[in-house]
Amino acid sequence: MRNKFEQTPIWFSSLGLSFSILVISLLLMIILNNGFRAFWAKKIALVETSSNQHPLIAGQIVKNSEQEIQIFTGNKDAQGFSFQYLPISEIKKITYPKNYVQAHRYTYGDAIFIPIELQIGKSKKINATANHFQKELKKHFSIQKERRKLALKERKEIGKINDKIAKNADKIEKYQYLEKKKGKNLQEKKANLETTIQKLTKEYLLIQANLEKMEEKQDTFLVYQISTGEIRKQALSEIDSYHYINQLGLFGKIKLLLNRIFHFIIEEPREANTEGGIFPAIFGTFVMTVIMSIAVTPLGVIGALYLKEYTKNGYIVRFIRVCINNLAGIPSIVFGVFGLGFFIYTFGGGLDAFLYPWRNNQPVWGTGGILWASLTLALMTLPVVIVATEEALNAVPQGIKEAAIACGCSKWQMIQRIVLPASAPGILTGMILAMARGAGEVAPLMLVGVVKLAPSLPIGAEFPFGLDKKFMHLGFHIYDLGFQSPDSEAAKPMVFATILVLIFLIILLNLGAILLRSHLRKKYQSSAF
Amino acid sequence: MAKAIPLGGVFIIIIVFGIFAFIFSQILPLFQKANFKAKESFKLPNIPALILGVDEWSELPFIYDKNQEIHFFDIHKGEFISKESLAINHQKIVAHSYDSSSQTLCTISENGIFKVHQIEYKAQFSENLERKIHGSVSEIISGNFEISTQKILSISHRKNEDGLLVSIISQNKENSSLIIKTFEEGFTGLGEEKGAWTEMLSQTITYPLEKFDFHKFSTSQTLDSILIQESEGKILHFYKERDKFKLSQTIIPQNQDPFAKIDFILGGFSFIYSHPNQEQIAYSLIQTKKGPRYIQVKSFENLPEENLLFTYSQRNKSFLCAGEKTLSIRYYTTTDTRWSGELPFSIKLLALNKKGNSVLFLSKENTLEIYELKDPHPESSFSAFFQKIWYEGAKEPKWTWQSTGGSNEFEAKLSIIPLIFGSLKGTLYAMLFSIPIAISAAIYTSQFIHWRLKQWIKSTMEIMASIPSVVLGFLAALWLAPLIEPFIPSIILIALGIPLIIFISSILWNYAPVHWKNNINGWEWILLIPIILITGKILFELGPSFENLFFAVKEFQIIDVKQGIIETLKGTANAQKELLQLSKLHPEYVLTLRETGNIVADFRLWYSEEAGIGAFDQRNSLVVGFMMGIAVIPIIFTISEDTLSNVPNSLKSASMALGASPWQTTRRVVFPIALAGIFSAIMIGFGRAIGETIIVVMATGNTPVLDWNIFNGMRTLSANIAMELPEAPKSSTHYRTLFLGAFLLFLITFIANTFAEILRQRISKKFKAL
Repeated sequence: MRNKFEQTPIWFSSLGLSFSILVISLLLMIILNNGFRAFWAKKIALVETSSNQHPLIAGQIVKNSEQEIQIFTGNKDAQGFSFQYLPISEIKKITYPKNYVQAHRYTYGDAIFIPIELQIGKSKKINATANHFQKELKKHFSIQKERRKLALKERKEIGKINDKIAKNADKIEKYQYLEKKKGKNLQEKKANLETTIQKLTKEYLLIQANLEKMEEKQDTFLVYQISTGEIRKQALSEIDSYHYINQLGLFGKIKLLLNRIFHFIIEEPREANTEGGIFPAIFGTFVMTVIMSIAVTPLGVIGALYLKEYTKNGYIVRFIRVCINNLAGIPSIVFGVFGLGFFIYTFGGGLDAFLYPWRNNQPVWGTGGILWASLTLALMTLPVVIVATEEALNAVPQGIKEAAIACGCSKWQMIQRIVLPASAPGILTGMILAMARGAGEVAPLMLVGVVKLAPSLPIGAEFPFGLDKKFMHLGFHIYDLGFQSPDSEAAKPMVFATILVLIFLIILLNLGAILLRSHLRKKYQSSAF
Repeated sequence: MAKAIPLGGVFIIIIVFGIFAFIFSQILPLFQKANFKAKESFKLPNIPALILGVDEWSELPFIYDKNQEIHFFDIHKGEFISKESLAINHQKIVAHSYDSSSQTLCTISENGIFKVHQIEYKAQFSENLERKIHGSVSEIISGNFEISTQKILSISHRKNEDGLLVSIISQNKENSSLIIKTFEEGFTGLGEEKGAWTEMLSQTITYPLEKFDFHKFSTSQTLDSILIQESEGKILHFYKERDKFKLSQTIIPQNQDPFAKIDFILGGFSFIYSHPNQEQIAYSLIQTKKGPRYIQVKSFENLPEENLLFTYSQRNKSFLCAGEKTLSIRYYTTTDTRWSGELPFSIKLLALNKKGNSVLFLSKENTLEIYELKDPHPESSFSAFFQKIWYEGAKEPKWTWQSTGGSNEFEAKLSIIPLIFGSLKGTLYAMLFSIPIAISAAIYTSQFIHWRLKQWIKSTMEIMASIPSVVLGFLAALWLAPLIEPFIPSIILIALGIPLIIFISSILWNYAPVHWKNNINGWEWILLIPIILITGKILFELGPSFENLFFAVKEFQIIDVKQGIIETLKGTANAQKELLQLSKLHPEYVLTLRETGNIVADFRLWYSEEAGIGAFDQRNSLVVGFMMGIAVIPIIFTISEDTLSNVPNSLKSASMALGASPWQTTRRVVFPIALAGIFSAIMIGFGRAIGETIIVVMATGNTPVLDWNIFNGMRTLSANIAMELPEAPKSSTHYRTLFLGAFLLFLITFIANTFAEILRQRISKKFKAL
């Protein structure tokens, strides 16, 4: 034993590592736990209390501390709140009655209740105690769902017609502008357009009337009682899904979990984003990262090729390296500021003035959009691609390259036929890493075109293919829901669910990149050159 | 294609410097002075002009002359187009006043009959969208000051949305009097836009001549301050309180001069005291214990000439002072001279239009000169951004960031010092947390860990780096902040206790059996995890007792001899502060402080009320420091670990062969060689932390404070940009100031990164040499 303190510094240095590993596991566990809990069907508890104000509370126990419990009661329309806090001392008894139903509604959030009867039309009523009640409920529920689908289809039709009208109106404005500026006579064309608009408006009104008629036909109602004793009536068409939670077994719950995750991913958000799914955000993130990687990959590869294959000048290489590292170190918000000032106001504004001089104060390119957002992030992720590509280029053995040159290849042929194919996995790694970074970045996007609720997906059939549209983004969705939502407690499960999706996506991309990279390293370590 | 490749290298350079140049080009106008140049000049017939006024667009100026006529001059036609006479019954006008903000003219005749006329401009658009301005004059009110033997010396009036104030100074052989009348516009009924004016107040304030000899006077735009200069040069401030004007203050300027000029600027809360050949001084209305008082707040450069003319902007706090031939355009808030110079004519009258982009002069040579004034960012200057500024209404000069406000009169306060401070504060706490952890982890991973784990640890750190900051921000704000808020003493205990336990157990480990020791080499960190968890849990449970011991908050009563208990409150610092305040407010009380004996153990209260260190917020720097630390740790770790691992093995082997222990080798051989690389890792981590945006936006209160208190928040440059830029109108001062913030961020990270890169290139050379 040389020294009593020999081990101490080593232990202390390992403390840093232990702490980091602990923290990251803790964070991931919290995300996983809360994320899955958002989808997991919790039992509905019926709490008997000693308070006179609310002797019975039905709901899901969300938080359980030493002093009090927090119950998600739903029924915001009836009570004005959806969470209730109850001191432990006031609890008399907790039971889990089987006849409670949790229903997801299109408005007002969840409802938790005991069904009383189903009213179909004016005369037919089915009592909840009847044997065939659940079967009938299911049947009528699916009828209503079908109707809703039809109505949605019609709504989409209306949206399309509105788009057409707007386009024609814009053309009229354009002609007016041309008449004034260039003195052309375009009366005839204008008149034509006006008649089309009239026709479209008629069509629109027809569908509108149809829809209204359909909505009037709401004739199936569910009568139910909530825990306060109040009896309420709800149109069946307003219910998205319902479950007798306490009747579900483990298998049923897992099925429900998967079902909910599926719907969360494919549905559109409702109720100021606090309900429904996140499909537009996933789609927006996807389209943005794709456009970004289309823009950034060629640039990054050319940059790396130049550094590796074309210049031997030490000073230039060092200078460019300083630039690359600086580019990697510039705060992302500065890229956002640049994107807003340059892409949107300067470039986009100029483009608007050139392409659409008749539109005042209705910017197309002079406002945030998915193209500008993608380009901004492309600048930001450029160093990631360059560094990864360079690593891949370095890994290509000198021997193959020399062999190619010896066989009479030009330098470009050598790069094109030998170097690039060999380093393709490395380039792909860079692209994946860039996508992961782009998918998780929020701050610059807030300036260049992300919105909390986009009216349509950022894609289109004709020019400009939706590139000018504002879009939704998973990261911004988290920020907006968690930070800007009026009822952050109610939005929390949604946020955790979104985080789960985002983290899953990003970790998947990163793991892919890590695996690809180690595969690449192994391949060239063992290569025979 | 092959030729395109060198362009790729150039392109990278272009991007970096392009971003720099673009942002720089956006902030450049902030530091430019006003642009002032002659536009047009017209020769006029000889008119005994008294007042020059102009419309918003500067197209139809008017001149009021001694014959009580108003002439409208069309600058497109270059001639007078209409004339309106205000004279009635050939009464002799003894005084007049013109209020340029409301464009009203008030005249008074020798027998005390006054009239207020409105000069009204209306813009009409013809079919081809050409603008035509029509000017007209209408009488809005007339009345009578009942003076018997007194002589009217001067008149002053102001009109705003709330009403109208007309006042005169009159004198007879014994007394000077100030007579004030205020009016309000009553809405008589439906359909009618304007109603009749009703008199609200008629007040006469008289002093014997030997006390005050009234001289000149001026009314504030708020209609509640009247400043009178008396013959000795003192300024008497009459302030309206409870519907009566009272002499509230006598201001004695440094150079008492009865002929000095007093002029209010926009808003009416500050006035400029101009005195030829002396510094110009600004007084501002400040709320004091006695009530609102004018206090000298600023001084401006000397004005060279006598015969001063003054006009102020209707848009911002700038004002124009003209001498015989010189003009100086100044900005009140920053005391900056925006433009000054000599003009090629002698100035008789001047006017500034409402848009603030055109200055008109009537010269003594009978010409009308029109000048164009371009000053898009008058409120910005180096001092506005970086120096303490005494804003209107504030008690002292301060660094303040407050870019938007509710009312129209709001003045943007754009000091970026609090933001730079906030960025540094957040970064400091993040670095304090992350540097020791990241570097110790890097040392351990590179030197001591079992080789099989190395790749795995590095991948885990990469995953940690890839967690989006919005997720960390959300967790910080809505999970961590409320979670740790009640348990600060436990956190303190854990932060102190765990290193201690590790220290003790590492010594105890020496007495463990040898085969244990050999097996644990490279796996210490796993052994530590249960130790951390168990001690963490124990210390956490001990937290409340620790809180009871050290962070007890005492309860106090403030007692007056007569009144008994006045107030019961918690915390020593809090009670003493309240006691001081109460005794100031009620000097008649005899106050004592008594402990009630009740004690609450609450760290939050203790921190803010008992010890009085500062505010305690739920979303504070501790939370931000922690989460930003989490974001920075993987960056510092990865780069440091790389450098440490790359230290040539031969050196290590040599050291070991000479008998050094592994730690001695690490400390004396590996660490010094890799130090530059570790330093560059810290610089890059610093760059990342200072630019971090979304964590700060979410996890702090975003108030621009200027203290190092760890339990309150901050507002950083980056968070400020993210929150305010989407709302800032393009090319406004606010917009450009946010770009200035981005520019500073760019500069700071540029310096840090370039430095780091140079260090790194140097160390890689060194490794090659070894």
